[in-house]
Amino acid sequence: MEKDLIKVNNLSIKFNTKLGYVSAVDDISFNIKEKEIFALVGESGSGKSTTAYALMNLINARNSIKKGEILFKGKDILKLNEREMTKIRGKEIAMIFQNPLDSLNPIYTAGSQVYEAIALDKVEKREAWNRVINIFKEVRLSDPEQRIKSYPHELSGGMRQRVMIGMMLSRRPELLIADEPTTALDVTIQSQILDIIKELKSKFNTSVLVITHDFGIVAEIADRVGVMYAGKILEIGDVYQIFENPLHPYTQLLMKSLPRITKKEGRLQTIEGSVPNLTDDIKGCRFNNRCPYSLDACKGEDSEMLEIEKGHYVACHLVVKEK
Amino acid sequence: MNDLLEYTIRRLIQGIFVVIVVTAILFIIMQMMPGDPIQLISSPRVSQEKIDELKELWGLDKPILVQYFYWISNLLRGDFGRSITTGQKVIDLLKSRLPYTLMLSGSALLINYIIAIPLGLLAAYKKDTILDKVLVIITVIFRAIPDFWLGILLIIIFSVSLKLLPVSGYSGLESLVLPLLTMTLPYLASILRLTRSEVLEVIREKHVSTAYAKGLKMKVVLIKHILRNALIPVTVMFFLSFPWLIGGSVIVESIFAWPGMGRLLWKAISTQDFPIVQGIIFIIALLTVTCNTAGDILTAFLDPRIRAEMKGERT
Ligand SMILES: Nc1ncnc2c1ncn2[C@@H]1O[C@H](COP(=O)(O)OP(=O)(O)OP(=O)(O)O)[C@@H](O)[C@H]1O
Ligand SMILES: [Mg+2]
Repeated sequence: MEKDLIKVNNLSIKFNTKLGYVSAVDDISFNIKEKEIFALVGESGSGKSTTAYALMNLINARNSIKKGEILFKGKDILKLNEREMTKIRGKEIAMIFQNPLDSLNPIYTAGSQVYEAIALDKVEKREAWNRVINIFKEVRLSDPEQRIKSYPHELSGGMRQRVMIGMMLSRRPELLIADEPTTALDVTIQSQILDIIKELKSKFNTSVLVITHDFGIVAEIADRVGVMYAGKILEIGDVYQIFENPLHPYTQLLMKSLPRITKKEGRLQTIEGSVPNLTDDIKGCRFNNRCPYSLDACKGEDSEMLEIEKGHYVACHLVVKEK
Repeated sequence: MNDLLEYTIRRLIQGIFVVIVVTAILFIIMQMMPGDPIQLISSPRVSQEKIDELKELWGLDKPILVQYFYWISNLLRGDFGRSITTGQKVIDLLKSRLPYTLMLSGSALLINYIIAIPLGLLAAYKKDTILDKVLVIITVIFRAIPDFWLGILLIIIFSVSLKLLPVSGYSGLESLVLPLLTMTLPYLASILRLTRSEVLEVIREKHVSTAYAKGLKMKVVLIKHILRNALIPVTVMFFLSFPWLIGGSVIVESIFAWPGMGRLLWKAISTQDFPIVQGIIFIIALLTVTCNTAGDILTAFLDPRIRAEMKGERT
């Protein structure tokens, strides 16, 4: 069995806002193994991006409280100082951010921004530019010699995302975090981008954490999945377990509401109700106000993560009761 | 870079066009001024033949457009006429006064930016802390003080009470201190706040996270990806505000009896010495157009998005 590359233990992140503390991530644990693609899936506001930023140690310490640990190859990332973290970012863990349209600095050429990353590894100038061109080829940008001279506004959204992927893989990190890598892109471009991620992942043996709200993307690329809701992970399992035997009602509903882009079949089913206010001190299961099967126990106490079958965990009172 | 050259040329041509328009307006205003130059110097005793002769001599019998071209070609050759009150050549007056005004306004502008940009950056980085609030409040207070009042206050404190600095006039670099303070303090707030808000805006942009994520050191991100972007509008502001500052120097120069153009303008207006007024307005207009053009070209140089827009504008 593959080793864990990253292991998150009881991570909690609270933001101090004018309205009080927002509990964006609440006591979550998961692991990402070497060479696997792990997907975090959940609705908007469930804390996926916050989790990703925490792995990069990019959460502003001034207005937040972090608890728990993020073990990356044994080291706790949350305990590293800025200098040590700088050595890890880009080199060991890299990240593609949610909106590809403004992820690049508008005043520098695409090539020079990738060059800037490569040059951090003390690569000689000519060699570094060769690598930039190679990377542009690897992410299948046509005419790379010209594209390196393009400014971001001269590139389409899909092209910018390719540049981002190339830039972030240019230093061969062990973990690539891709936060909604295809949102805001055209459907046809979406699958091309996913293909590139998959292909380069196998080529460079990178692990990938992909963040999405779309089970379609999960099906397309993930090995394992964590389902996130209102700061909690409700279910974890490998992709077959989750698709064939979704246990948590939220997982089931989210899967049904899956925005099928390929076939147009009537109305999109969305889950009734809305995400609870994260500033409130929530008791019990965070999904209970929207859950069609809510039990008394769900309002009382938080459900524990239980291993139902090997590697398939779920936190749900209903599942416990039925067992 | 070719785009840039093209844009520069286009912008220069536009600049020249603006100068023509501005001078045309100036000319029309001068035409509308009460009093005909001939009447001004003649009396009823002068015969009509003599008046016609004078008119012909000065070209006043020519169509107005021709007169305008005479006038503008004189201005361009530096012939602004003579002062009505003293008879001195206006160009000589300007030549002796302009350097002082440029010295005062130029150094005020530089000092303003040298102080305000780092403070703005600091305020942005310490956003919502006491330091940030204090910086903003102090500079806003300075802005609220009218400059004539500030100037007099400074004279009272440093010249009259402490006797540290000269009251007025120009007697060496120490004379520069008080007028400079008067012209700097009220303007700090706007540049500080511009820098602060631009930096805060850029910090929020996703490409800054990208810069961190690829492994750049904080210092590099700060300089190459935050300041470099945030300072584009600040640089433009630098050029745009220069003519304003020269305009504003009229009051400050009068308070400190600074031997510059501002005070000359002040006196000329009060004695209705039109050739001087006209000369100075022409110079200010020229400076304004030059600075605006320079500002635009520089923005295009610093920001490829602007260059793209310029290209789009043409097609
Ligand atoms: N810097 C911050 N300050 C205050 N609150 C924050 C901050 N960042 C995130 N949050 C809050 O934390 C919660 C989780 O946000 P997050 O961006 O992690 O969700 P997400 O799952 O990525 O959603 P989306 O699909 O919309 O990207 C939200 O309620 C959000 O408002
Ligand atoms: Mg997000």
